[in-house]
Amino acid sequence: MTYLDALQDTLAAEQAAVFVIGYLGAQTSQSAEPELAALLRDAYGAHRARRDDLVARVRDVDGEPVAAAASYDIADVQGQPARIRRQALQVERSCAATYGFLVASSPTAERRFAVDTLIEVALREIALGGRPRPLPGR
Amino acid sequence: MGRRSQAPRAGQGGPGPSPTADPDTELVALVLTEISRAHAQVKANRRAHRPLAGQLRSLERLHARHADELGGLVEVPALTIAAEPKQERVLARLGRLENRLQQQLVRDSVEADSGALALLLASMAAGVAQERAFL
Repeated sequence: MTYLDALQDTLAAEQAAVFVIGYLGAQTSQSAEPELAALLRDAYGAHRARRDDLVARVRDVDGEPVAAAASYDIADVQGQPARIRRQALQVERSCAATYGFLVASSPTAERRFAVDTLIEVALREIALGGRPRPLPGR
Repeated sequence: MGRRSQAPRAGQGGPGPSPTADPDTELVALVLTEISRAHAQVKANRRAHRPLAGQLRSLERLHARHADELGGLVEVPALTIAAEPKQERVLARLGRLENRLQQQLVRDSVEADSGALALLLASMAAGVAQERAFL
């Protein structure tokens, strides 16, 4: 896998994360689940920022950033905070795996971004109630 | 600047790497020593402060697992390992040491020649970060 391929895959994962986390946030009651709502709001902001970082990085290597999908397959979770949390955790785990590939495919000079974001995503897993686990590639 | 640049190079009075040598060999040895030291620190504190044993055991196991990935724990000088005498300070002290290890693993990941090793070290840094969240 080339660096550009890995960037594009990671961008696609972030676009999906922005969509799904945004949807999960919209299904979460601010008054009944303020802690979960705040976590999802923070996660949404972080994924949007990383998506924009990745678009810039793809352009830096003369690539054309992949477009977001028209829709994503998501379950109906309205009013089910435990399912919302599980789905959000799944999104973060999927992003962690993708950033792992980006770490492995990045040239040394560009690798720091992928390493730092992998850690950021891993910590968000814990904030969402996940437990420490063996991370990508092992 | 990376730590490998401190090693002697060909023409600088030290033995240069052979053309077929794995460029990451030295880095792996350094990382293994750091992980082994962290493991020994956690173990010493777990033994000295029984009430914290449950909390520290998973961190100790994590370091042992990471060391296994790189060839197994190595001996570290016993003089450099000391349990914190005051129990109420153990978690804060270990938190600082683990943070230092995490930052070093990040730098090592960035420095690694092989992408596979970079992924392994980045994953280790992420694993340490996750465990630190429970200290």
